[in-house]
Parts: sequence; C-alpha cells; structure tokens
Amino acid sequence: MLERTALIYDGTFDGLLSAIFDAYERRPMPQDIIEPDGQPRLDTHYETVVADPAKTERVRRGIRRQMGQEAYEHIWKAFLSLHPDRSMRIYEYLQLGFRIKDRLVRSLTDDRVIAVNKLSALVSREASHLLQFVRFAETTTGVYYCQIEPTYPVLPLLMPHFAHRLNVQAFVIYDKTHAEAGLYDGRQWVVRQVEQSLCPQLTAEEKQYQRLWKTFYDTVAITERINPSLRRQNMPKKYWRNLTELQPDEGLLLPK
Amino acid sequence: MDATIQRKLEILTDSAKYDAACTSSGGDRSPVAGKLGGTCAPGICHSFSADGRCISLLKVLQSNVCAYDCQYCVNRRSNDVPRASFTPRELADLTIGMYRRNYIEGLFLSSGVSGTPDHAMEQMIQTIRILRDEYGFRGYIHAKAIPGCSREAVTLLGQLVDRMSVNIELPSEQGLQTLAPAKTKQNILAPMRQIRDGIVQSKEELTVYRHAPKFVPAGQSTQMIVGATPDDDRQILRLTEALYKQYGLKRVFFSAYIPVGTHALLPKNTPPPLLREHRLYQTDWLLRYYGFSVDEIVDDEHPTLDPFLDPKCAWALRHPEIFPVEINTADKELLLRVPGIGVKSALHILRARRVGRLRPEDLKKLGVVVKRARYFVTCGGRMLPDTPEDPTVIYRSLAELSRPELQKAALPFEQLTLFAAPNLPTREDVIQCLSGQL
Repeated sequence: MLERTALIYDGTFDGLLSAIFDAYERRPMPQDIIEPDGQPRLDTHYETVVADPAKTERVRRGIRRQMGQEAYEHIWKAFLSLHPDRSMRIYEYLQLGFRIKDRLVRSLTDDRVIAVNKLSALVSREASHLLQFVRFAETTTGVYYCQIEPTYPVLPLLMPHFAHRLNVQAFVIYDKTHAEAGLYDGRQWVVRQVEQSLCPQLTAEEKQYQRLWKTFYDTVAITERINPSLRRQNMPKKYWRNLTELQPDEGLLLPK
Repeated sequence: MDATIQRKLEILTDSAKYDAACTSSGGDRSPVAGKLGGTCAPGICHSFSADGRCISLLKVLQSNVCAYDCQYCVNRRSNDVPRASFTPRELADLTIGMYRRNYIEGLFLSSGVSGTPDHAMEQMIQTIRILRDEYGFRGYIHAKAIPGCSREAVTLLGQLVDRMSVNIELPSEQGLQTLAPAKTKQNILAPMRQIRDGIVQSKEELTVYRHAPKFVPAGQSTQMIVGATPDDDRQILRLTEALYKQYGLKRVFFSAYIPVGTHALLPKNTPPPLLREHRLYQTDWLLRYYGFSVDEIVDDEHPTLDPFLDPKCAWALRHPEIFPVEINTADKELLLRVPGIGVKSALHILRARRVGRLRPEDLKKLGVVVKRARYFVTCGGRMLPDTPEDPTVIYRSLAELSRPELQKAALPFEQLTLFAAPNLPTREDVIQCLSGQL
C-alpha cells in the first residue's frame, strides 16, 4: 500500500486553487499537489483532478476573506515564479493560512511563509525592474511596441501599469522568453500566447528618438563620477540587451 | 526633428547634469480618460547612466545662456561653453516623445538666467503650459524657480508642476558673496518661503473644496554643493535640518563638487568628495526616516562625519548606555536606532512579534543585517552567541575599510588601533581623507 497521496492539476493558477478545494475534501489530505509535468515518486499514489471554476472561486474568496488580499497576492506572484516547488509551497502556505487566518502574513519567521514570500519577491522584483526598463518603439500602425526577455512571466503585472499610464496610446509588450504578448488597444488589455516573434515596421521618426535618447543618456553621465559597478547594481546586465540607450550606435532597434 | 535638436539636447543636457535631483517621487496622479500619463508615489527610475546615477526625468535646461557669473557653475557668463536654447514647442514635443517610449517619468526643467530671471521663467512656463494644457500631459514635472524672479512667476509655475526647487548651492552666506555675487541669501530664501506658504495654503483649500487648484503637490526640494567651500558637515546638516523643519522641504540633495570653475577660492584638480556626499545622504536618511536630530550626529566635538563608519553606527558606538536593545520588547523608535535594522526590518520585527517570541535565528529572516546589529541587540535577554564586546574589535568590524576611497587611509588607522581607544581617525585624518589627500 502506498503511503503518500498527491493530486495532479492542470498547471494553471485557477487549477491550483480548485485542486486545493479537492485536497480539503480528501481524508486524509494529500501530501502533495503537483503539475502534470512534475516529477512522480514511486511511493506515492497520484490522482488527477479537473479544475472547476466554482471551486476556484470559493477558494479564492476564502483566501481573501480569511488571510487577506496580501496573502492572495503573495501566492499569485509565487505561482508566476514557475519554481518547480511552487505548487507544494503554496499548498503548505495555504494549509497554515486556513489554520491561523490573518496571522499568516505576520508569521514572517515561519519557513512556509518565508518560502512563498521569497518566490513572490523574485517576481515582484522582476516586475518593478521592467516598469523601469520597458522601451517602446513607435510602429507604422501607430501602436507602440516593446520586446522583453524576463525570467518570470510578469506581463499580468506590467499591463495594468502601462495601460493606466499610456491611457490613450495603444501598445504591445512581447515577452520573448515565454512567447506571450500583452496587448492594449486604448481601452482594455489582454495577455495572449503568440506563436512566433513579432517584427513590426517602425516609423522613420522612431530612429531619431532613439538617437536623441542615446545622446541624452551618454551626455548626462558625469565623467568624474563614472561607476560601472553602481550602474550594474541598479540596472542588472540581463536587461541591457533590450535597452535602447545601451545599443551600439548602429545597432539601434530598427526595422530590418 | 533634425540635427539641431540633437545638438541642442546635447548642450542643454551637458549644462544640466550637475544637478543631483532627479527623483519623480511624491506625486500620485491617477489616470484620467483620454489623457496621457500619470505619476506614481514612490517614483520610477528609468535608466542609470555610466556614473550609476538614476535617470528618472528628462533633465535639461531651457537655455544655458546666463547673465550671472556664479563661479562654481559650468554655465557662468564668463565660461567659454557652447550656448543653446530650446523653444517651448521643441522641448514639449521632445518630452512627450520620450514619455511615450517609457524613457522617462517626465521633465526636470531648469534654466540659465537668459536675460532676466522673469524672462527665463516665462520660457519655462510656456513649455510646461504646452505639455499640460495642449497635450494634457499628466506625468511628473519638476521645475526650478530662478532666484530673483517675481512672485507671480512662482505662483504660475507652482500651479503647473509637481515639484519645485530653488537651489541653495552654497551652504553659507560668505560662500555666496565670494562665489555667486548675483545671488543673495534673500533672493534664494524668498521664493522658498513663497513656495512653502503656497503649499500650506493649497492644502488648506483642498480640505475645504475638492477642486481647489493644487500647488506644488509633490513638495519642494533644494540642492547644496559639497566641497566647493570650507563649510563643514555640521554646518551643512544644521542647514538641512532647518530646511526640513522651517521650510517643510521634501528633500535636500547634496552634490559633490566637480571642479568646473577657475576661481582662486575653489578647489582644483581634486576628485569629487563622493564618500563625504554618501555620508551626508546617510545622515539625511536618519533625519527623515529614523527620528534622529542633527545634534545627535554631529556636534562641536565631532563636527565632521566619520568616513569609516555609517553615521548610525558612529552614533551607536558613542552611546553604549542605550544598548543592547531587546528585540522582543523595544518600541519602533528604539529599533530604528539599532545599526543593521532599517525601516523595513523594524516593521517586520513589530509584525512578527505579534505572532510569537523572536529567537536569535529569526533576525536574519526578518531582514536584519545581523553582522552589524549583533553588537547592539539581545534576543530573549541574551546577546547573540560569540558576539565580541571589545569596542575596538567592534569598531573594526563595523568600519567600511573596503571602500576604494579608504584603501590608503586604512593603514594609519590599523596602526593606531594597536594602542588607542576606538574612535581612532583623528579629525585631521578625516578631513584629509574626505578631501582626497590621503
């Protein structure tokens, strides 16, 4: 007889919440919740569960009501980290949360809380970096376009910010790493999977703006204060590839 | 858009770059349907230049033509540099184009005194009018008030921008007299007072009716040049504190003097005092977020900040009677005084304490920098295991000896520690080190 049981869910966030509902219906509760491509163990009996929107909503409401919005945001961001243990960590976090309710977010020394907060912090950090380092280019259709290569799929965190801010201006942010695009038409935004990389046609004025920006960037530095390590610390190198101001003069992001 | 704009941008950026302030914080303008832009309270840095400084705003001058001859300033009348001016339309278009591309949070606009102070202000106001009225731009705008301009110009500008600043530049009146003869304490402080009063009045009106016009909603700031005049840290910090308390300033910026002048009284060929600037900023943080007053940090006995130590560590070492602090019971004010505990980790401690008693191993989890805090705290009545108590050892482990500016300075200090008490570098060492002579 197998000692452990585990649920397999569909790998979506809503699916995970629904699976948590199922876990609470089982006696004894399963030890683990894993994604379809998770590593199976020999000593474990696996059961696949199907996501049910009604269960998802009940769990979502329950988390918000009992543990607060902050806890909900932590698990959502932790999920976006794509970490192999994300489902398990969130499951353990929520089990603790359903027991100790609103004391959960204050239990900053509990390892289960730390584990989720850590993942959530990684994602928040990436998102806040991209709010800084997204660079749009004007395309001939009037839509502004940007390519990013984030470690985590943070488009759902970026889109509300830019939609608010750019407001009247339609734009597309293409996440090359995860083959997703955030689309905003001036009213609403969506995130979609995209098959192949987008290569939009840029305007002639775009090239001039990129030059102007680079001129500004190069001029504003004070020679006597040059400090490469401080710059790297504030603006990690992984973002440089997609930053207009750090392209060599001839390599500006221009239409091929 | 052509080569001329490119050249103007280069000249007018070059002329503006010595201004330290480039933050976009303090404003929180929510979006309005059909209008471009907004601000967010903590501010956003969009890039970092080769000197590691943040680029948040398009920082340029409207014009670098200047009637004044301030010796510390690169744009002084007698300096032979290329001159240029943006038309309001050119600059407004440039700002919008860069904003749409998420290069910037908005505009930081200053100007040389092209003609009269009022004429310079008028050009700036026109630029900002185009941005706000014509383009409906809701991004961040920080504008300088030109010393000597009229009250009407300050009022007009204040209703259009998020933040306004008047630069003090030289922290003493003697400095101004010798190096900036066209400026007086009076014509710098008068607009600062006017902005302060305008902000207070606008806040009162806003409590009465919601649609009262906002005046400089993100507050006022200023800048002081550090190292151009012989003023010591105590003078600079006392002035800073007075500006926060009496003038309600949001920020005071410090700018290490870069030798751009030739006046006999100005330092030449010296590296900018970056470490001194850094220590002043650390102290500024202690004033704004940690409940310190200037007199606690510098006094007649210690008129300069210790280059080797974070000012909070220096303060803590001078006050052994306050420590150790018990993590499980100390109030927020006291926690904030412990080296290695910041605003965030203090909050984490308070939060976590409501759930259970904290153990020594929890400190790291709460974001406390244990290697600094360990000398100053107890956890459940006991010091952390293996914590040395010898003040000399503590001083040495807290001193930031690895900073490049202190590499050479470390040697005399190391020798001295063999014989003497902890606060070792003499006043002279400190001054020499700060002025880059060691």
